[in-house]
This record gives sequence, C-alpha cells and structure tokens, in this order.
Amino acid sequence: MKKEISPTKKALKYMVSYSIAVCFLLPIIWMLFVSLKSEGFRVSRIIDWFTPPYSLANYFSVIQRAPIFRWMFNSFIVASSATLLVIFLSSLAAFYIAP
Amino acid sequence: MEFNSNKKKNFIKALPFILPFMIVYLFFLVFPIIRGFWMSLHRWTIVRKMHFVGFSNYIEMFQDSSFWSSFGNTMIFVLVSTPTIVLAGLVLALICNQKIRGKLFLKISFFLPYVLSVAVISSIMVYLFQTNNGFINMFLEDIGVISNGIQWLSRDLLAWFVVVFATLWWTVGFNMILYLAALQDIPESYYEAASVDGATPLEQFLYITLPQLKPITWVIVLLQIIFSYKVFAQIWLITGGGPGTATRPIIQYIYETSFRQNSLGYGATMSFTIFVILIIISVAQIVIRRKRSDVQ
Repeated sequence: MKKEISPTKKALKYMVSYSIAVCFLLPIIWMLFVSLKSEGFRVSRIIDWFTPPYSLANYFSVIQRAPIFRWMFNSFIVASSATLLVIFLSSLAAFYIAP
Repeated sequence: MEFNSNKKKNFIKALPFILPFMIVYLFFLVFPIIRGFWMSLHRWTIVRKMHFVGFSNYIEMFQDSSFWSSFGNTMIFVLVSTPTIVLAGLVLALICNQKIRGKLFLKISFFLPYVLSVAVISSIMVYLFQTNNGFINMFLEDIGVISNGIQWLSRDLLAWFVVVFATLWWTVGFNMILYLAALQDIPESYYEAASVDGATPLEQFLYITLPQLKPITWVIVLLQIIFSYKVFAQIWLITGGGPGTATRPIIQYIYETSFRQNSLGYGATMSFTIFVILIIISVAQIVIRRKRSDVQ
C-alpha cells in the first residue's frame, strides 16, 4: 500500500530541511567564531571569520574586566526564586481551582 | 441550606491554598493596573507633585501625532509579524514532523535562538546587518550580488525587515513547539483511513492536519498578537526606533515620555490605553471562538 518516495524527492526533503536548520544555527555559530578571534583582526572576506588563528583572549579579558560571575549569579537568583515562587503559588491555587 | 454551608466550608478549606497566590496576584498585578489608571488621571513629573487633571491626558493623547505614529508602527509590526511567525512556526513544525533522520537536531536548531536573551539576539543582529563588515553584506559581496554594502538599518523598509527577521528567528521556535505538540496529538489512524480511501498527501494535509490544528492555531495567534503588541526591546536595541522614528513602537514612546521626559502621568495614560486594547482583542478572540464552536 505504502509507496516509497522517489530518491530525488527524499534528497530534496533533506536538503530543504537541513539548510533551513543551518540558517537558524548560522548566526550562533558565527557568534562563536567571532568570539574566538583576537581583537584588531582584519576581515575582508567572509571566510576570514571562520579560519584560524583562534584565541581565547576575549574570554580572559571579559573575566578580568567585568564582574561577569556576579552578573550570572544575579540572573541565577532572579530565575531560581521566580521559578520556585511561581511553581509553589500556582500549583497551590491550581490544586483547588481544578475540578 | 445544607448545600450553602457545604460551599462555605469548602471555601474556607480552599482559602489557604488560594490565598498566597491571590495576595501576590493582587499586589503585583491588580494593584498596579488600578494604580496605573489612577496615575493616568494626573499630571505627574519627577520634580512636581502629582496633581489631578481628570481625562485631559487622554484628550492630549488623541491629539498627539507621535502617539498615533508610534501606535501605527506597533500595528504594522503586529500585522506583519503575526502571520509571518505563526506560519513559519507551522512550517518548521511540519519539517520536524516528517519521516526524517536527525529530528532532534532540527528541533534543537529551530528552538535554540529562543533561549537566548533579547540583548544577545539584538547584538547578533546588529553585527549581522552592519553596513561595513556585517556578515550579510559580506556574504552578498562575496557571492557577487552587490558591490556596495546595503545600509540595512538606515532605510525605513530595510530596518523593518531586519526587526521582523530578528523577531522571527528569535521567537519562532516557541510556536513550532506548540504546533509540533498538536501535530503529534493527531491520531495516526486518521491518516491510515484516509490513505486507504485514496487521499493524496496534499488532501490529507488539507482535510486532516489543518482542521485538527485549528484549536492550537487560535491559541498561538492570540499569544503572538499579545507578544507582538508588546514589542520594544529588540527594536530599541537593534534600530533604536530609527531611522528617525520610522520603527519606533508605542512601548518605546511610552518609555521615552515616562522616563526620558519624566511625564509619568502621560506615560501611564498611553500604557492604560494599550492595556485596554489588548483586553479587547483577547476578549473578542474568545467570543469569536465560542460562537464558532457553538455553530459547529
């Protein structure tokens, strides 16, 4: 009963699906590679973004220059306390509202 | 009589469960709404004392061309982004719901931008669409489509495109998850029965998938309209409302009047107006939905 779809159709399906997925990931991948470039590095072609030299210098300077762990901790406090409060309060209320 | 006392007893029993929620709800939601309305009836700046002016703020608002233009911008954003992002969510969900290898990879890629914060996605977009050395312009130059960098953020239409594109990329994953859950809830037997009866895949999609997705579509559209109405942060961070005030949404105008020009009362007036509009949209949607399901 079930017909196998033709190989061309299958290839097309994979190509379209995966290229959309790659488009979605591309800005994030690009962000990752740019973060690995050392400062003052000139780029004249797009391929330059993705080729070596890589360096972790940016990461070190972020840690040195900014209290980034403090900021992360602040976010953590907000996120965790809000989550706990919402779950606690709304589950109590939902328990009695639900028939 | 007995029923009444039972009800009372039940209510007293329920109180400790509902009360904590109610206190928070009243204090952080209901009170600020009433207080906001109260504020909107006053002329109030940081330096001067609050003083009651009745509805004159509302009259001023109706004559304020900046209010209407930024309100119009928000309407444009809602009208353009809602269908785009809802449809894109459906398409991505259909992609993930195919018989295909690497479904998890696809789902993760579509959902990943959603977990990033607005500051992160905005700076990515700013660097992507920069005129010099921006990723998009360099890509287009490399493949030879253009020779001079396109000024994405200094043309009205292009700036709008960038904002809608950024929002689409950032938030479509959420709609996709909702659609995907609904797609997976459709019983496989419907499709089997349809294919036994000789329905083509297109017919199956039109007469099984789409009708089955109707309820979730209502929810997604409502959520998307509310979300799009509240648009502010990504526009503020990507275009700053510019070029000029071409992409300035109403929330940014409210922010500027309230906290830059310190007209808190007037800001509250506009906020309250938007609040009422959103309530009307939500209620209208619920009413339309009820009527439709009554007909069926």
